[in-house]
Amino acid sequence: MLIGGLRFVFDKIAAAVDTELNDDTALREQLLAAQMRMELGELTQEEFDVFEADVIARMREIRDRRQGAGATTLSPKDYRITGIEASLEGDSHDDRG
Amino acid sequence: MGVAASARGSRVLVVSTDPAPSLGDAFRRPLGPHPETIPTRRGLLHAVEIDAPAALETWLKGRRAVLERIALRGTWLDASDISRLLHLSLPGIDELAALVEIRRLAAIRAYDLVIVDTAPTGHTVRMLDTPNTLIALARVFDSMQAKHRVVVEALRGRWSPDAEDAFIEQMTDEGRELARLIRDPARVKFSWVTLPEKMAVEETSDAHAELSARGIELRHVIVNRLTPIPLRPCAWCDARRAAEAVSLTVLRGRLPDVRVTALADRDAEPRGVRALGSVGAELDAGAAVAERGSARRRTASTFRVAVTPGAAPMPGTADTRLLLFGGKGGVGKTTCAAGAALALSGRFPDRRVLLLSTDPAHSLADALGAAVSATAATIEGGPANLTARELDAAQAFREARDRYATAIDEWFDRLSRDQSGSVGIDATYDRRVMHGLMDLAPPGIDELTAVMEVTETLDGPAGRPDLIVMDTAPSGHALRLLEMPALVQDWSRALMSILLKYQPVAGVGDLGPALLRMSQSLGRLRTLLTDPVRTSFVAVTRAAALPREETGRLLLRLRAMHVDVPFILVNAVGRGTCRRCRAASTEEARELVRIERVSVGASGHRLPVVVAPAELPPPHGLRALRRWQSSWRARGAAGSIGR
Repeated sequence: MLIGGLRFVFDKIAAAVDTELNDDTALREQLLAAQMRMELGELTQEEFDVFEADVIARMREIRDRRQGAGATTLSPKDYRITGIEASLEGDSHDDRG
Repeated sequence: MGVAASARGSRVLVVSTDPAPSLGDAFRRPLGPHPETIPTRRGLLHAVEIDAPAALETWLKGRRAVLERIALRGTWLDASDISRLLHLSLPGIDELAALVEIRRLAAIRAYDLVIVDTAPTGHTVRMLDTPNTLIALARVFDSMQAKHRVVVEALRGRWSPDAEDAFIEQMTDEGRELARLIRDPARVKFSWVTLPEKMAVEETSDAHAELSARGIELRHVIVNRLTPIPLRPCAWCDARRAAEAVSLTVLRGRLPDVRVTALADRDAEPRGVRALGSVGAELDAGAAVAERGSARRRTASTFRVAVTPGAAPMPGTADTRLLLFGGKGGVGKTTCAAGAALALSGRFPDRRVLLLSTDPAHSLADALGAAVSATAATIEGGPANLTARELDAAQAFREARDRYATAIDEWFDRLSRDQSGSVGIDATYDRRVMHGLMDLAPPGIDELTAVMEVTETLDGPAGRPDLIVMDTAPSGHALRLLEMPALVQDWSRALMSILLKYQPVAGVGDLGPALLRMSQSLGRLRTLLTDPVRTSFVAVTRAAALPREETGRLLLRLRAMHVDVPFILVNAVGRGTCRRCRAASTEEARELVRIERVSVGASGHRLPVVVAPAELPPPHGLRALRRWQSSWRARGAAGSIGR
């Protein structure tokens, strides 16, 4: 059960990494949040422009990656959990899942 | 009526709920939000002009802490979010505040009679819906509290009602009692006051239907200012009486079961306790309309003022995008706006002109003598570059609300999904709260949503208007419409801040762009409204004391809001030749001078005054409106309104 739980966590991390690498949804959302901050006066037009240029560059990278050498998608098949190193502190429990 | 009742020994409170009140003008003394004693020989007479924002603040003051507690317990918002939202101005809550305030005032002293002078038609009908708003608001708070109850029950095993529950119950009771009160003919009597004019009668008949739909029976209509029989033939009086007779026949045909009482037009506007008392006595005597007019003569049925040579001033330039017509109820805004739209579409054949009514009590169709619907369409027999539309604000708002409801649902889905279920925020109650809040949309928001939707299309692709001529609701509510963009923008910005705060957890979803678009579009509307090149507000008035005083206040507010006023339009000037008409003409001339005196524009300069001649029956239909508009004349300068 412990392994299963950790497997779940790693899947989540893999999904997050995948999102960072190949999904521009998160970037679009960041851009939108920046637009909202500009509307609220928390960002100046110049600050927004810099941010926007950066986001667009990252979006382009993602697009290039997708169109280029195939997507670097991490699927659960691409990695294997070989072991878990864990150290426990405090009271030890007799709980081995 | 108030003066007459107090003269009979009653203790009377007269309340005005109109955001642009004229009650003080009628009593010839300044009135405020606290009851002022009006000296009378017998009985007791108090008068109040309700200040809705102040009334709301009074109501909120003692309740803010409870409201904050309920919101804190019942939503995922934290104390700073809630405090921020509760300190924002609540847009368009005037009607609700007014109704609650009337009850509060009536409870302070044991009055025998409370007389309420309401805002013009459209907004009064809406005020009668507000008890339901109060009940709905209580239901929202109850949804918030429900979440808290579940938590406490789970922890303690049982729930015992607390101060917050009592508050919610009290609010529900208050709403129910108000709803019962306005439908109880034993306690509340409606007297609908109208003029013996075609458009006013149409509006009265619409209002009667609206009241019936709400379970309120209208049993009494007062027709004010009926022209007395002139001592000798008089073109104005005869034509006016002929038009009045037709209107009255229509009125009686439409409302056969309603008692109609007539009030004769007075030589001078009834102001001050004595004059008002005599009006009250006449109302008490209840001269039925049928008793009058038996001595009708066969005379000319039309009256027109001889047109002075010159050109009519054009109420807009090639750069004008938004031209608003506003003023006191009954001064003839709609007719003036329709005349101006026709003139502008003729003057600028390349421009697409939209004649738009935002008054919930529409009368464009009555003025144009042609069908007008909620979608813009050309007018039968009218120019190809002119469309007309009577805004269905409620429908436009429902559509906008549905869009937001979907976005809110999607955001709550994210909130629970991203918490992966186990420690997820249970948003069931929050969702219910948000949906309840959206159903509670305060009055006026619907008009704003609809206006925004239209102004956003300005200068759009072909088929969209590039000039909007807007016939607004009477003064108070037109001003509210102009003030509302700033208030609603504050709300959309506060909500955006809160959304950004929770962005790391739930992202901004579809709600983010929706709020962003709203804020940006409100910003554009605010810029448009205060741009003197693109936007103008024509203040329509009459050469009489009460409209003139209201115009003075309207101009002050417009100045404070930086809204450009190109000129004052004094409607229906000119009278006949009988003794009464000659006296009225003299008074009109005096009033015109007084109007010139109060007509001060944004930069402190005198505003031009344009006179639209009286015409009986009033111009109706495209041809008559065009001809009548071409007879408008600027006073002093010949014809040109230069800016």
